[in-house]
Amino acid sequence: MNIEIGEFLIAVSAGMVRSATPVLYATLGEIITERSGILNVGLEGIMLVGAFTGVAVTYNIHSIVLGLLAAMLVGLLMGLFHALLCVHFNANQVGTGIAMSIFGTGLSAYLGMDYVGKQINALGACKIPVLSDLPVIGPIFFSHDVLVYLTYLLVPLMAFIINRTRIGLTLRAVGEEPRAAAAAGVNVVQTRYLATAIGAALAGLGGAYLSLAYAQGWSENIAAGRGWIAVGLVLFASWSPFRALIGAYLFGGAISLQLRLQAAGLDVSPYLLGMLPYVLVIVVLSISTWRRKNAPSSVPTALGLPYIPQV
Amino acid sequence: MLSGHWQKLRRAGLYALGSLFAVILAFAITAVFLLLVGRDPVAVYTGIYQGAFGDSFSLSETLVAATPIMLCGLGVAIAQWLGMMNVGVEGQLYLGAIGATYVALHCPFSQSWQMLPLMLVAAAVCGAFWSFIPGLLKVTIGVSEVISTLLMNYVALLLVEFLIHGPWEDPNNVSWPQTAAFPACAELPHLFGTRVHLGIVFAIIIALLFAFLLPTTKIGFISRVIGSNPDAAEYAHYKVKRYQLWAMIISGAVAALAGFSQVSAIEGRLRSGLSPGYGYTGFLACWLARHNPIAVIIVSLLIGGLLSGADSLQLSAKLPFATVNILQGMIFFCLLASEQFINRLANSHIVVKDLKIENKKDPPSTVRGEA
Repeated sequence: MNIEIGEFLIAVSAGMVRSATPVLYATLGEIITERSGILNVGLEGIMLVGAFTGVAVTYNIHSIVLGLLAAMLVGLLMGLFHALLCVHFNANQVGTGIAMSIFGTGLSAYLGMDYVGKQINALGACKIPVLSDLPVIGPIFFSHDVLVYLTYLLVPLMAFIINRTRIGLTLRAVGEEPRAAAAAGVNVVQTRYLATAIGAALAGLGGAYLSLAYAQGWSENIAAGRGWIAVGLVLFASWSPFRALIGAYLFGGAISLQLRLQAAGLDVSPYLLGMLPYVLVIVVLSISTWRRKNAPSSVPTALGLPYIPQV
Repeated sequence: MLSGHWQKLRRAGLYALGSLFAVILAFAITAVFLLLVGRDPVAVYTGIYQGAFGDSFSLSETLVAATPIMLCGLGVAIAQWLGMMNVGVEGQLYLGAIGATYVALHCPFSQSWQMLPLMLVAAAVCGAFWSFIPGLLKVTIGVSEVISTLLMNYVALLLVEFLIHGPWEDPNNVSWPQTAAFPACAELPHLFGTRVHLGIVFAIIIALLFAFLLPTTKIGFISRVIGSNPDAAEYAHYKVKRYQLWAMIISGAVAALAGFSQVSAIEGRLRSGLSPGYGYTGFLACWLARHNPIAVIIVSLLIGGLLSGADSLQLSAKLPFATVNILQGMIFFCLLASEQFINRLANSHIVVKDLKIENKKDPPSTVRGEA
C-alpha cells in the first residue's frame, strides 16, 4: 500500500514538472518584460500562436528544433508589436494585452483548423544518464525532455542576470525610474523593446512546448488560460525567477494531481477537478498579496506607465 | 475659446471619429490577411454586410446577436466608471445562465408568471456573486481584478460543463451534453414575431438609466470622481472601496442578464458554447464606446451585425468564425493605437504652461542670498 502511494506521488510530481514547464517559460518571460516597466498581459494569445506555429513548422519541415525556433520568432514579433503600441503609441497596456489575446486566439484557431488531430513527431524524453537513476529525484526531475532541463538552468541564470549584472541593473532601472535611467545614458525605449520581445519569445516557446511536447499536437485553445495564469504567477512571484519556479510548480502540481486522480478512477467529476488549478492560482495570489500588504512593495515603479521623456 | 458645451460635443465627435477610423483601419488590415490566406476580402465584407443588414431577417438576427453584447458591454462600463477592469463578464454571463437554469428546472410553481422574474433575480444574484469575489479580493487585499476575473471565466465554463455532464444532465438525451428543455413559461417573450427578445429592452433601459443617473445624481458624481482620480476621492473621504465593490457587483449582475436572456429566449436550455465570447466582445464594445452607456448600445448593434454576418458566412462561404476574433483583435489594436492622437486633438485647446520658463523665473537668488 505504501509503495503504491509512493509511486503515485512520484508520478504526480513528475507530471508536475512537465505541466509546469510551459507556464514557467511564459512566467519567466513576463518577469523580464515587467521588470522593464512594460505590462504584457497578452501572453495567452502569444502562447496560442506559438503553439500553433510550433506544430505547423514541425509538421511541414519535420524538424522540432525549427518548430521551436519559429515559435520563439513569432512570439518575438508579437512582443515587438506590443512594445510598439505601448512605447510609441502610449496605448493602455492592459487593453493591448487583452487585444493580443483575442487576436491570438482567433489567428491560431483560423490557421490551426487544418492541423487539428495531425500526428507530429513530438519532443521525446531524454533521460540524464546518472541523475535519472537516483531514487525519487531521478524520475521526478531528470527523466523529461531537453526543454524541462533548460528551465533548471534558465531560472538561476535569469536570477543572476537580473540581480547581479549590468544588464540586469539597466533593466531594473528602466522599470523603476525610466527618467533617471535615461539621464544615466540608458536607452529606455530600446531596453523596453528588447525586454518585451524576449519575454514574448519565451512565451512563444512555452506555447510550443505545450503543443510539441506536452499535448503532442494542436487543438483549438490549447493554452486554456495558461497565459493568464502566467501573468498571475508573476505577481505571486513578486518578479523573482525562483519564486516563479515555485508558483509554476504549484500550478503544475494541481494539473498533474487532477489528471492522476482522474486516471486513478476517483469518483469526482473531471470538470470540478479541472477548476483546481485556476482556483489554486487565485487563492495563492490572494494569500501572497495579503502577506505582502504591509511589506515594501516590489512592484517595478514604472510598471504599466508610458514613458514620456522629459524635454 | 469654445464654450463648455461645444467642447464636450467636439470631444465626443473626435472620439467617435477615432473609433470609426480604428474600425476602418482594422477592416483594411484584415483584408490583407484575407488576401494572404486566399480569400476575396470584398466578397467576404459584402457577405458580412448582407448577412448583417441585408434584409429584415438578417436585421433581426443582428439585434439578437447585439443583445448579449450590449448587456456585457454595459457590465464592463459600470465597473470601468469606477476604475475597475472587469474582464470576467464572460464568466458572469455563464453564471447568470446557471442561475436562470436552476430556477427554470427546479422551481416548484413552474406554470405561472412568477417564473421569469425569479429566473432574472437568480441570474443577477449568481452573476453578482461571481464579480463580488474578485471585487472583494481587489478592495480588501489588492489582488489584480484583471487576473482574478479572467481566471474565474475558466472556472465558470468548467462549472457549466460539470452541471450539464452531471447533476443537470438531460435524462432523455445523455449523448448530447445539455440540460432538459425549459418549461414554456420560462421563455422570455419575443418581439415582432422574430427571435429578437426582451433582453434588448433590458439593455436599452439599463443604458438610459445610467446615462441619466451618472451625470445627475450624487452617487453618479462620486463615481465619476473615483473613476477619474481615486486619490482625490480618497482625500474627499468618499468611500472609494465600497463604491468600487458595488460597481463590480452591479457590473456582474448586468452581465448575468445576458446569460439569462440567452438561455431563456434563444437556447431554451443550458448548454456549453452558449456564448461565442460575448463577454470579450462586450469588453471591446465598451472600449470602442469609451464607456459611454448610450454609445455602448450603438457600438453593440454594429458589432452584433459583424457577428451575425460572419455567422451566415460560416454556413454559406465556409468562413470560420475565428475570423471575427482576428478582426476584433485588430479593431482593438487600432483603437488603442489611435487613442493617443485623439486625446492630443481633444485636449489641444488646453494650453500647457511652459515649465522651463517658469523654472527660469524661479528665484535662485534666495539660495545665493543664504550663502
